[in-house]
Amino acid sequence: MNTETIKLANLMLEGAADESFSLLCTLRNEGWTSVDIYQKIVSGAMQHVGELWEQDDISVADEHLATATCDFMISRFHAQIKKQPSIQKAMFLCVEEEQHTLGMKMASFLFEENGWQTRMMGANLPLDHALKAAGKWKPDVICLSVTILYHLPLLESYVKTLETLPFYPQIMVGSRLLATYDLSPYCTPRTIFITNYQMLADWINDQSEGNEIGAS
Amino acid sequence: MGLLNNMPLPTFRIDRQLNVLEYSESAKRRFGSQVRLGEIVDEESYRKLVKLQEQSATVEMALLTAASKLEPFSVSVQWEGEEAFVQCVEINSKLARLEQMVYQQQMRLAEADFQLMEKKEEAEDALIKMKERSAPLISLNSRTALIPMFGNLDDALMDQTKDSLALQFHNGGYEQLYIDFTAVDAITLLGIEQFKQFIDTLLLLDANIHIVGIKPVHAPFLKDHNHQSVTYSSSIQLKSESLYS
Repeated sequence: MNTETIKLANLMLEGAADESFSLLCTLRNEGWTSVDIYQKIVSGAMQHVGELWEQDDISVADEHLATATCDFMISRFHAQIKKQPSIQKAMFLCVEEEQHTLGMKMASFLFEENGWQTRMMGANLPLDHALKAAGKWKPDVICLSVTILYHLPLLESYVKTLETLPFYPQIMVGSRLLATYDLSPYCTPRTIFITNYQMLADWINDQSEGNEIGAS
Repeated sequence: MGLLNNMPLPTFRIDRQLNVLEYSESAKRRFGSQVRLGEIVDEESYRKLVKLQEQSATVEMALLTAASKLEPFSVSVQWEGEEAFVQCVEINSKLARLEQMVYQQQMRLAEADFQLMEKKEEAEDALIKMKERSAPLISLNSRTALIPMFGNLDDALMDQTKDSLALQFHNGGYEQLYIDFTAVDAITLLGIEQFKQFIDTLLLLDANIHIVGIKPVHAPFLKDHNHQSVTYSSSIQLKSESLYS
């Protein structure tokens, strides 16, 4: 873990929204890509915060403050980035009971940077709501987020039901659990698993180079 | 037995191996019937569980409730010999609600901020376009071009236009250039400085420059220069044949 990551974690734990934002801007000016900023710096800092809680060095309240600061910081950071309009659409949601949205928010930002229209349906979205929203908006890609092991059984019903939509959306699953668990039993052979932001950026680039969605 | 059973907060009596020897009715309601304390502790809180196994302490842990949800609790353990009492206090959900409200307010402010920022960028873009259009190069014939200047002759106007005007003049293969000051309002020192640099560039491109439409208020800004070949007049007087040559 590099010094910027630790520095950002400390700033977020202090609720220092402006300084955290400035740190990301400095890195951007030094030539860091969004992918690296989101992966190595922001995700790294949040992992560090999680570890501090596991070690009993900080409280749940501290962790919540860091999460809120992080959410605000990345939203502000992303607002600065110019987006090119596109017709491709990606929808993002967390399975029911799942509250962790930061990861998929950064994923949605990467889609937007590459010109996609996105719709964040947020945390804890019941399947029937997800189905209705997707049926109405008809996204090309539906990204599901799950970070808690106990929520995995729900994932299967989301993936299988959303894949039956008549416009054949590509289902993507993003999860920190992918680093340690095989989630394929909860998904279908068509499902794409996103283990890191570089992989996601590569997939998005593949689409803009003309490959069909779902071909990868 | 009776005392523990009636505890209002979920309470366990455990041994050093973390076996549950007894639990309160409130513990049963919240966590179900448990044989080992570790069964309701989330993987990411195991390190703290090890700490509690060794000493009396209070820590925050994620516990799996009877509804199969992971929720944060403040867990206190008091050892007496080889047995301990464990009490679990739910971390106040009101705090989370307040945090959520603060965050929502923060986001609303931020959205207003982001919108303002976008509007500012749009306004800046519009200003640049306006400046670019305040000094167009108009072709009068194959040899002659006219630059009518509009508005204030300032740093911003010259910044936005001088390079592109010089390029257009050069690429158009013109020889004569009329720069019309009729619609110029105020002139700033930085603006006129850049204007003189623009004239220098044009002279290097071998242009015959005629500055026309000068008003008395403009004269002081144009008097200190060493552009001997530039001519001045109060209005454009083109020879009619020059328009068709």
